[in-house]
Amino acid sequence: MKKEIEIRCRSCHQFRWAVPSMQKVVKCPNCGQEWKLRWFDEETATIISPVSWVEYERKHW
Amino acid sequence: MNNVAYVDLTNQKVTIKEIPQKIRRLFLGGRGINMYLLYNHVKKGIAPLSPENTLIFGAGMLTGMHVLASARYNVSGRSPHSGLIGDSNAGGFFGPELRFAGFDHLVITGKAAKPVSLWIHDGQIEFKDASHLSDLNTTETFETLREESGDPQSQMAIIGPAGRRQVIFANVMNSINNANGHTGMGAVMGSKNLYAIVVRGTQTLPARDPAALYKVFDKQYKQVLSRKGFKANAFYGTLMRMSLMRTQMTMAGHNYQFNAVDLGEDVDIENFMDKYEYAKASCFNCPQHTKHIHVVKSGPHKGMVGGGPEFAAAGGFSATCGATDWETILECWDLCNQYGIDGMYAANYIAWVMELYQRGLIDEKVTGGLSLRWGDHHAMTELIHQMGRKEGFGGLLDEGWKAVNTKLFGEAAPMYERYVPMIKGEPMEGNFKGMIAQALGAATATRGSCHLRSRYTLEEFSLPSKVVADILGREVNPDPDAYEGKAWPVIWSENLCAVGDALGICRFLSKWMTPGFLAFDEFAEVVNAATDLNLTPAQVMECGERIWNIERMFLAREGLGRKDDKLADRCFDEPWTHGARKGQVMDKEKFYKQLDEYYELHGWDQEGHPTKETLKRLELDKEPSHLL
Repeated sequence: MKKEIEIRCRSCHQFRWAVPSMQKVVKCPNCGQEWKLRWFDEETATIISPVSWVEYERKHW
Repeated sequence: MNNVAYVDLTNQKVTIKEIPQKIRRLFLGGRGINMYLLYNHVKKGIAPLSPENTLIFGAGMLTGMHVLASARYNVSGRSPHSGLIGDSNAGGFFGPELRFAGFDHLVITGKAAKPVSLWIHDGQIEFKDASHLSDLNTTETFETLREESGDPQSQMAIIGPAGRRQVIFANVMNSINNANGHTGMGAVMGSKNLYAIVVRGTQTLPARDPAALYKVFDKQYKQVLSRKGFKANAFYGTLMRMSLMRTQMTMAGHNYQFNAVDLGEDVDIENFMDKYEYAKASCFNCPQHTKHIHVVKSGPHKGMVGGGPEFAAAGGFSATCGATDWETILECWDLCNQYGIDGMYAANYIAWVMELYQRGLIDEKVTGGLSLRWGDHHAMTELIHQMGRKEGFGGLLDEGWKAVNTKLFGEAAPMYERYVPMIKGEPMEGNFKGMIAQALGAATATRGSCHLRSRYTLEEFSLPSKVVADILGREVNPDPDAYEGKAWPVIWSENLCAVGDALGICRFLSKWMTPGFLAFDEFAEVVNAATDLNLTPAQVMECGERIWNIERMFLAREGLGRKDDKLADRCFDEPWTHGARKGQVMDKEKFYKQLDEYYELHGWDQEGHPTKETLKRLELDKEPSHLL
């Protein structure tokens, strides 16, 4: 079974949820924002950008 | 070892003195001893670009030793940009080599009659003619000096065209991607006709207990490498903040008017990594190698190679000035490095005049025909050329915001100061409205607004209260919007940055950067293995407090106090424009009320000056003591 790693949504800030290891695109179950992840190894990931910067920025306009 | 060289450029004389143990115990080295020297040598009110100013180079107490990220050194003097504390920290290999060559600090006074360079080799200092460097850019200067030295291991601190022309935000550069930026120390070097310092040394730096030092290094190396922050920084470098701040909507959009701007898809850090990054570079003894080397592979800038960029300028040229493509950002960055200009200052100046243009307060008649539209490639690059050459409208900006504002608006100038993105005369970085502790740090930082002096970075991480309390040694108000209880995190950050700079350890491997990195416990371990000072973590932290206080004494002597611990007005009366905080403003009254708590915790009076008791406690009551 694939490991799950916790990350924190940068849109709704405090919300943390578990994502499958090495999955490149994830969706926050709280606010629905889709994020691209960078995996440095199987246990370490960081959000790198929204799937679309244009859509992300317009959403908050 | 532990020597200071006093270099009199007017008479070409050198005097060498050993640093007293007491001074090392109180100020450690690097920025700490530099600030002691600054307070003791730089008199009130002297002109920053006159021979009376003193230029001080200072390697950290542990710089060059078997200590993690021990690359750092400071260059200090009176700043020609702010008129106040000039001080700038850099990495690379110059600091370690200076110590290998036998000197911890250089105190440079007077002015050479013609361009000179200093050649320092194993305890010897020579003056050499440097007239042939007069027309070279920074890369050409490095190449010329390295060839003349005949030794690929020689290191150098130089100025470029901007420093030679005394542009007041000129850098000292020690390689194409390592600079003492901020506060214009390159201009001070230029004013002294000192174009370069070349160092090469073969001396060793003995440790008190080499075996213990190896053990500490191994332990701290493992501690740092295990952290997620390390992995992210090692991959993206400071550009990681481009992602973080853009998603959190804390960018300084269009000269701080907006907390987000439409930058499109190109200015994405993965794009930079895929298209432009060629290699990574590291400073002395650093496993994190956050520095990029970039090359542009196609298009009009094909073949352009440079170091960096770092976030401060990349964020500046993108969000703050409006560029929406990496090639404009990289060209602006590389031009700054070739002229030897601070990229963050350049970006702030460009953004400022772009806003004046946007508002119709200046036009092409004033700018010499330049249309200063947001993100305009030609306008941005041309302004940097003009700044570096001291020509045209860009050259006017070299006189500094106050002089320019007065020239543009005459008696009405104070009314237009609201558009100037500076605090205590130094440029802001990032839009910290809403991050109360960071804003307090910016308002009170001793060299003017500065993310490198006292930024409480951990405020961005929404850490659990217990984790924060463990790191900071006391409970901290967890409410991000509260104005109470934010003074201690700022003071803790001041002390951390001051100690790191005094030891010569990069703050990128400290808790300034990420929670699992180094702080006072680790600093004490390494100090005690490397030296005979035998300090507790609390005593190490107190060294940071002492450094901060002698800086504050310098400011107080210049007449600064509570009235100067302030933010730009637009931080309070212009609301957040985008995102979750849209419509919010910072509460001015509550914000300034925090100064009471901040001063009290510091042991300062209501004017923000250290009290007699505080000075006595910190053994600063006899300053200036002239022990060095």
